[in-house]
Amino acid sequence: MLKNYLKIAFKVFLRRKFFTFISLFGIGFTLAVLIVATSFLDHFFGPFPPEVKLDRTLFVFRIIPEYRPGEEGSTISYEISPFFAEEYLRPLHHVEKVSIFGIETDPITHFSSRGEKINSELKYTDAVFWQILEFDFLEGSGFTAQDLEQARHVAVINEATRGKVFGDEPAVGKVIRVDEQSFTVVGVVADVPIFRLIPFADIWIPYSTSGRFIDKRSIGGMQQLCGDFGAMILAEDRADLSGIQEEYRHRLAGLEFLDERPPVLGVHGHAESTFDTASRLIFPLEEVRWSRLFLLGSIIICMILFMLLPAVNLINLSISRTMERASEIGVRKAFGASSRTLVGQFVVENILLTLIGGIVGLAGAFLILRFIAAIDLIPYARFHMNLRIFGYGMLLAFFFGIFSGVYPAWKMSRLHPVAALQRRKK
Amino acid sequence: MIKHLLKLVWNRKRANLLLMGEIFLSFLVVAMVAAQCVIYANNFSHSLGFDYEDIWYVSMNKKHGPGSMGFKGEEAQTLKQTYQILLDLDEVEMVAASEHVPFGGGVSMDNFSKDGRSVSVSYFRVIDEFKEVMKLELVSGRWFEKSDDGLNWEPVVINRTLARALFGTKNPVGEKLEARGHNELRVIGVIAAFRTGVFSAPGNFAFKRTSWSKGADLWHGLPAKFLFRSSPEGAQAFEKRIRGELLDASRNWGIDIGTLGQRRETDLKNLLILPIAEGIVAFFLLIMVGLGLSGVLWQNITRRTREIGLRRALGAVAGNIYGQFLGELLVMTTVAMVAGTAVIIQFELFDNLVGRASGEVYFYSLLVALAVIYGLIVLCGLYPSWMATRVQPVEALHYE
Repeated sequence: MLKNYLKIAFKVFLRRKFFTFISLFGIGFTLAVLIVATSFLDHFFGPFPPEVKLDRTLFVFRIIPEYRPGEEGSTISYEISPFFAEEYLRPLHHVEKVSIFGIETDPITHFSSRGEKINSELKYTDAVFWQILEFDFLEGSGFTAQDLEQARHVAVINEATRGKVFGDEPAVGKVIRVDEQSFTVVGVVADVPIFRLIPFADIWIPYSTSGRFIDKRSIGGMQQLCGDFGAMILAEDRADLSGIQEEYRHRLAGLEFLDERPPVLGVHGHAESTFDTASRLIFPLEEVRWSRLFLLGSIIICMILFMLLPAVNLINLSISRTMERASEIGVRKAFGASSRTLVGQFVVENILLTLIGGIVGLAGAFLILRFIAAIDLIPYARFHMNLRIFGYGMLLAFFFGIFSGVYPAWKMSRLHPVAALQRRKK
Repeated sequence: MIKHLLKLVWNRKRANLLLMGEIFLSFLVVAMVAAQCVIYANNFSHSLGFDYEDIWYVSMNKKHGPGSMGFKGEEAQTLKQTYQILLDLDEVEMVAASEHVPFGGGVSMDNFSKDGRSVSVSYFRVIDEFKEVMKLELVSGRWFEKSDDGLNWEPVVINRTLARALFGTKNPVGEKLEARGHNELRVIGVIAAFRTGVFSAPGNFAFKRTSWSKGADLWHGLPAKFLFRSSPEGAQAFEKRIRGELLDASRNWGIDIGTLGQRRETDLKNLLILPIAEGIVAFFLLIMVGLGLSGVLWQNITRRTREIGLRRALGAVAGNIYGQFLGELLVMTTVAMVAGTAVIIQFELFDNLVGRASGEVYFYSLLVALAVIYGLIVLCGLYPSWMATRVQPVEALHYE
């Protein structure tokens, strides 16, 4: 049956090449834009190297002290300190590893051996960072716990920095100047695009080498917990995530610093995925579940809105061609095909058309992404087409096919057999 | 005539409704893109209020590195030292310091109110030399001066837009302002204009004062961006020298050095990416709509052969047929655009409410959208209508 439908569909497409071309152009273009958008989102939130273990990773970015109502600074939140990670995150059950790192990078300027100015982004990390994230090491490796403890001046640099500073020669063991201090390069990794906020940097160094680093073990109170860090928690298993979140909330709930001025009555915080953090930022609702739903919902609504015009265009094209197939419909109806069967057939036809359009769209998206990479719009961005994007693209095409196919199909199926066979309009 | 056309459109209302829907949606798309372009062009045409040529900036950025809490006094000290070092350079006569740099460096926000009327204001906290270095144009009152150190109220200089928003035609110099959590504010002067970015709106802007003698208090609006005039010759060597000089003073700070001209270019590039991408997408959408519409019209006309044949047989000339089909199309377009305009006006009312764009912007973008859509529709209708005029009456009446 389906085979017959497809055969008929192909014949129809070939009969009116101009119409097929217009339809494919519209569908292909629409899907290309949507696939590019999806690909951007995927590259933001999806598990890409080095963040391949995202499905069992949670992030802690900030903690929020709670003051008496009306007290000054009641909405300020703080990034966390290494002490906090050691004391409150590390001991959580089912946690395999905890890494801490500077959330934002620091822009620095240094000079190559030929005296050219190089702008780089610097990130402070610990040693576990290199274990949780799977960087693609071109040479050497990440720094170790001893490096961190003894504040050794070692650095990991990315490929682009190696090219600029050392002219693509092996760099391990060589010295790079950062803020007029010397760091020995211990590893070179492949470039990480800027929108991977957690791993992104040009140069990574142990946080203990910073002149500003203070060991907070001796300071008490709220100060002790606040610093300039975020933490990454790797759970032993996916299933443990909610348990860890619960336990973390529980531990925080027990905190209070009544001796502080103003007194801190409690501490709030979240351990969550980056998508959850983003949705909480955009839709600050009571429960993160709802924020996530709202963000997802608004992304989908935007996509549908964007599809609306192309869909109406396609519907118009299909409807204007109804008459052309009147005799076919008339014959099928006369031989007892129900309206529902006909709707089914036309929707399948439309889906076939949009799936072909989807392939065109994927090719278009591929070219657009190549172009974006070529003009270097986003530093180090390399948008690969992967299976996931292909799947999303086909899903979009399928949805678009149904979205734009049902109304014309319904319209066609309602054609009265007598009128249709007469090939005359009212 | 129009009544007759409306009737013709009405007779095929289902199919025509969808066509009008398509035109309506395209109209919205074009109007949105046009609004953005008009806003940009409009803002761009306003004066920046300062002269960015030959201005160098040295931007000191507090590093994020660990343990940044509790360094306030020390930071102020570093900044004061940096200022002195820059001032001591041979090429530099005068150095200004500000909380932010123009062209994409951000602003501080506050709410000023006067007699119960409250407006949101962007401001920079600057030192006295700022006006001289940036060549601001004072239109009334005075700028900050050294003796302001001893005041027990806070002086502010505002731009003309803000003066108009708060005081109307009244002279604002000497007037008091209220703002939350501040000492008493008083307007001491009015400058002609000030905008901070290539495309930023000429909105309410104010300057607040800071000075090095405020000591540890400085961190409140850290004047960590330094501006001075110097010729751009030998830029790279000059920059390297500045870095060398600042090395000791500024450990644990990130330093960004360049000219405002470079900043302006980067700002321009960054801000144009999105509208250009939108424009390209809209352009292809329009091509798609155009092709689709011509296809649909063509198909419609082949289906109305008999009607055309009849009209020709009854003596209608090619021009009449042309007129009928284009007329029908234009009637539909007009109906769709009336609906579209009604929707756009909602946006305008909303934007006026939040003070983001004025009615003028929407007026011009509507004009652009109207012109583009009418042009597109006529273009799409021309070929199918011409086809209609080619229909031979004999053939058409034979059609069965």
